[in-house]
This record gives sequence, structure tokens and C-alpha cells, in this order.
Amino acid sequence: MHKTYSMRKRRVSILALAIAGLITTFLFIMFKTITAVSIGSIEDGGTTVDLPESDTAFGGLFYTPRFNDSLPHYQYRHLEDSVSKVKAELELENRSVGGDGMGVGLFGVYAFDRPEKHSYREWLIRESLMRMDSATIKADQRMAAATNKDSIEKIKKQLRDSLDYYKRYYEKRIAIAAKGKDQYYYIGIDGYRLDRESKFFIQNETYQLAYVKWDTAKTNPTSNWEHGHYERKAIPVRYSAENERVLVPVTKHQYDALRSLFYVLWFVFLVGALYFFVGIPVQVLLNISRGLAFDENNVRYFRVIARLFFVFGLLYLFGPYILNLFLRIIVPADFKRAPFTEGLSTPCWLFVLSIAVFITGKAFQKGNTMQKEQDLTI
Amino acid sequence: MPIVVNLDVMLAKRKMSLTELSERVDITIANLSVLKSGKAKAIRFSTLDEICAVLSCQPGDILEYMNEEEYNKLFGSK
Repeated sequence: MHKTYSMRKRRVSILALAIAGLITTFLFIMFKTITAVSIGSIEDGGTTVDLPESDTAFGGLFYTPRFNDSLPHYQYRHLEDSVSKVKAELELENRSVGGDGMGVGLFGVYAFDRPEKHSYREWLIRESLMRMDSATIKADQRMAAATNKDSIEKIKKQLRDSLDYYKRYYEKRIAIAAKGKDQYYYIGIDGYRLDRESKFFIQNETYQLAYVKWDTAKTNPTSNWEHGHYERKAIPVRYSAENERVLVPVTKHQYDALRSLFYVLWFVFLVGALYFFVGIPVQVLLNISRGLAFDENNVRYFRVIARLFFVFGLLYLFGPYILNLFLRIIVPADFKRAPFTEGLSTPCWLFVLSIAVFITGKAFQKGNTMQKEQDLTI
Repeated sequence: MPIVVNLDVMLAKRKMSLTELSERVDITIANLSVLKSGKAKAIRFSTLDEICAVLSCQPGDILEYMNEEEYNKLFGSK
């Protein structure tokens, strides 16, 4: 009997529907929870924080200088530009921008240049150019006043000798300035962030944290307001807001040793990743092309890859929080990990991949069993 | 496995070697060895048909059922 379209049975997996429904419900609940927390403070009231704009005790974080309005426009702009430049440089330093380093996973080693070193070198170079310009101008003036060729040649030779002298003298000073401690060295630990109001800054080569101290919490039937002001405290670590990274100071010797270790770890990790996630799949494909599709080795490879994906997913999800328990000895409590619900997508994908590879491995295992039976069928 | 293959008994009765049976039935010696040693998982009817035709016997002469206890007593548990 010829079946019409309407008579064909469509099979839908009840189990798959149930799983999809459960996960969607879970994600919906998480979304509503996060949304309710984030808008809670606005619904309840608000916060005000006094910014210490005239206080230089916070490393220039909040300081906004006032210029005399009666200054000539060009002077006003020059001052404004200079202050903007200084603030920009301070901002870069406070946000720990410009470090050089390498990392594996959550950890890394980084080196930051001492800002004083750069400015001293630049000053030496400017100074040498200024001296040479001055000598050249004086020689030109003397040559203009000279009356005979011998005098002019003598002045030119003296100028050449002076320029050589200045060049050698300043090159030597720049070379001496280049020696000595040029950089600060750190171990970096990724994934830490501060509260929205807290700010990290460097002052007199010490690491400071500006945080809000809440003064009053007024309650009335219509709103709650909190009022606070900034206070500061010294902390033992540096912080890079750009990378959400805590930087723990170490010596140059420790930095060099750790850097070598990280190179080794990085190399081992790369070789391992290439072996398991590129080499083994290629081996499986080769086995299949040779007619050994349901080989026991293939089944084992699928199992290994599925387990690795699963383990990486677990490490990605829980590793930072477990490590945080041990890192609290070094990292101040002001630095917090991102909420658990953030960054769920990567481990979710790893778990999905793990399940997919596991299912494929199970299918190949069944195929292997059937092939064995087939081989032993006379 | 409680199904015992008595191929060697029938070969002895018919005074035939495994090699000769292999040539007459067109099955490799390796496969016949697997069958004789009891490692085979299954046998096709077509194969059984050819073996019985060459050995002039019934399937029951080649295949015998034993319960688990008797089998383990005879061959040892695996």
C-alpha cells in the first residue's frame, strides 16, 4: 500500500526534547537571576561617591588641576596639553599597559620597563643634541667673523673635535644608564577583577588600591541612597586592568627561571595538543582509509579524545575557582574572580564535543564487536 | 560457549584430513581450524550444508549442545 505524506510516522526523540527543555529552563532561570541582581541597586535607590579631584594622594587618579582662565590662550592650551600627556602616561602606568611576557593558561611571567629609565635616556639624548647644536651655531658665528682661510679651517677642525667629543661622552653615559635595574618582574595570574568603584594605582613605586568606603545608608519609603568617599591602602601586588591580571613581584632570577619553565610547558602543551587533537584524528582517518575502520585502536583513540575534552571542560570551568583557594595567600581579597555564569560557553562547547566524540567512539566499538563476530562467522 | 563442534570426530570417522575437507568444501584451513577449535561465533547454513554433504552426516553429528556445567567440566571455564 502506498503511504501518503500524512500517513508517514515522524519520530521525535522524547529524551532529546526533555534534555533540551531542561537546559533551556536552567539557562532562563540563570538569566533572570543575573538580570535581577544587576538592576537591583537602581530599583532600590542609588549611590554617590565623592571624587577627591583636588587630592593628589591617589596617584593622580582623580586629580584635575584648575588653570587660571586669564592666561593667554596658547599658554592655557600648552598647560592643558602637558597635563593631559602626564595624565595619559600615569593612566598607562596605573593600568599596567606595555608589559612584555608570556603565559600558559592562567599563569605567566611579565616584565615592565621602569618609566624613569626611558625618560632619563631621552633626556640624555636631548641634552647631547642641544650641546652639539650650540657648538655648531657658535662655530658658524666664528666662521662668519673670520677673515682668512686658515682661521676658517681651524674653526671647522675644532667643531669636528667638539662634536666627536660630545658624541663619545654621551654614548658612554647612555650605555652606563642602560645598565642596572631596567625592568620590574612579575608572575601574572589572569582572571581577576576589581569592583567597579575600586581603582589600582602606583605611587612612589608602591602599589595602592583606591576603594570606596560607604558612609551612610538612608532608608525612606521611596528610595535608598548610599554615600561614600574614597580611601586608599597599600597592597603587595600590581594589577593590570586591561588584562584583568594580578601581577606578583618577583626577582629577575626568579623571572628568568620561570620564563624558561613556561617555555618548556608551552612546548609540551603544544606538542600534546597537536598529538591528541590533530595527530590522532589523522591516524583514525588513515586507519579508515586502509579498511580498518572498526579497529580497536580507533575505539581507544575516540575514548581518549572524549575524556580529554571532558577533563579540559572541567578544568576550564572549575580550575580557576579551585586555584583561587590557594592563591588567596598571595592575591588580596579585593580582587575577585568573574561570576561562575560568565565564560560558560567555552566549557559547554568542550562538553558537547566530548559527548559527540564519546558517542562516535561507542558506535565504533559496536562496529568493532560486529566485525569480530563477522570475522569469526564461518 | 555451550555449543560444541565435533568436526574432528567426524573427520576421524570418515578418515579425512582437514586439508582435504578444506579443498572439497572450498573453505580455508584457517577458518576450518577456527571452527574445529570452537572459537567460531557463527556458521552459515550454506557452510554447514557443504560440510554435511562432504562428510555425509547430519548437522547434529557436527554440532552438539552441552549445558554450562558439563562444558566447563570438559573444557574448563574461560
